[in-house]
Amino acid sequence: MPKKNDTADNLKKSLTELKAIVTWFENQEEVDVEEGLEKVKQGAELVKKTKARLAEIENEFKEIQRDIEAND
Amino acid sequence: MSREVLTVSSYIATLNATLRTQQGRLVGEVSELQLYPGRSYLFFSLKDAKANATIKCIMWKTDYKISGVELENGMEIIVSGCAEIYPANGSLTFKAQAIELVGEGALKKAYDELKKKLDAEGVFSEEKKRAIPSFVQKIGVVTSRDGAVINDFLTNIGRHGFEISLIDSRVEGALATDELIRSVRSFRNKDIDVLVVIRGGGSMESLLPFNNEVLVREIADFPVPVIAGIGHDKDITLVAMAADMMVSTPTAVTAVLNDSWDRAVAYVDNCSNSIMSSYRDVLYATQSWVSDVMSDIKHYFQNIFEQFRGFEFALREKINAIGFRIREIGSEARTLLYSVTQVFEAQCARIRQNIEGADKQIEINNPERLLKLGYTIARVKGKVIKSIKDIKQGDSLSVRLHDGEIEGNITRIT
Repeated sequence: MPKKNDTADNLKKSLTELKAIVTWFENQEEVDVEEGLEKVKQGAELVKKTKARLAEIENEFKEIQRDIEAND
Repeated sequence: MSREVLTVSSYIATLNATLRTQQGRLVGEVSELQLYPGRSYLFFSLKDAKANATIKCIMWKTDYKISGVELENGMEIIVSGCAEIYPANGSLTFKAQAIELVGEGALKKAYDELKKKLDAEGVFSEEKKRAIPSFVQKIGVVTSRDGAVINDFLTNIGRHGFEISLIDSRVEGALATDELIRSVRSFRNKDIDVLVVIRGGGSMESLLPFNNEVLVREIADFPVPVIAGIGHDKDITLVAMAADMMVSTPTAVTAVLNDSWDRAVAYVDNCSNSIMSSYRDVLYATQSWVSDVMSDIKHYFQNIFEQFRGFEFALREKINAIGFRIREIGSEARTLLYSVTQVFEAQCARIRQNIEGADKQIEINNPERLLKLGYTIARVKGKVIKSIKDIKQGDSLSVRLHDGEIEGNITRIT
């Protein structure tokens, strides 16, 4: 079960990195096979990580009390 | 009837305890309004003109402000609260906690005026609206814990690991305004990514709390983005207009919150496909390049191999020629050797014959053989005498016979 403490910031970072790899491939006129393979490995790791976070995770629901002093 | 004797104050206290349980909503016309600027309370009388009945009302200024109604003498209103006896003079006063305007027309007029005022201040301005962040996790919800709204919300919110905090709040009626304001304020210092205010649709009267100026300002000034999912009949509530995003149902709010998560799943799939497809292209390109190069190399080496085969053939020819020559020479050598051997053997035979002839001659001429035949060898002073000239009388003579020697002196020479 994926852990929820993988924060939204981490997720955004992973997605940004993933996007960077896609852009890298798009911008290379000639891709070095070894370098490309490294990028594919990185991409696969990121996909795995982000998919784990994007998998279904149960929500937490709690009812909290109004602060007494909240009324000015 | 109790025979117990009570003090006035304790009797009033007992009455007040009972009166506090008698919450009521009274409709009437405002008169004798005393706003008392600078004080924390105000007074007015509520008059039922038809029945000639009047009740004195007191209201805290905070509640008055929250009510959002500007009281004027002659105005028809509904007040909510309960009665209380003031111990100092024994007078009965209605403690108003909330005021509502009476009738759709009055509500609409108040709504329009407040909308105009807040609009002029830029409270609803598009520029100040904040984007709902992606991947929201912590959600603050203000709504009633009872009813279909929260259930709809919880049913439709995706299972993305949201942390949902609810503050239960009345969402209908004049007293709801105060609870809503305090609920929103309570969320100000809570760790949430977004605030959600939801309730089902209703008439303008039932949605009155959501057109309250204080609540609208709380929403407009809230520290994190606010999504309003407030159903409406005709006029959009002012709270919804002040929120950073407004949708009309709780389910629509969940769609907004689920959106970035749902899109991310598709986005990751797209990225994954794009990367794999790009790399496949790279591999195909490389494979094609390798194939071309191999073809070039093959072509190049084919030429070399062909040349090599030519050289090899020429070399083989030479080697064959040399081999032939070697065999030829060998044959010649063998022939020559045979001839030489023949000559040599003939020579040898001749030499052998000569030697044998010589041997016979030697044998014939052997002095030993002659000595045996009676010949002798005479020597003087070791020298063979061949002539009388070589000797003189008196010389010591040595005569060799085949089986010994005779020594003597020469006594005469003839």
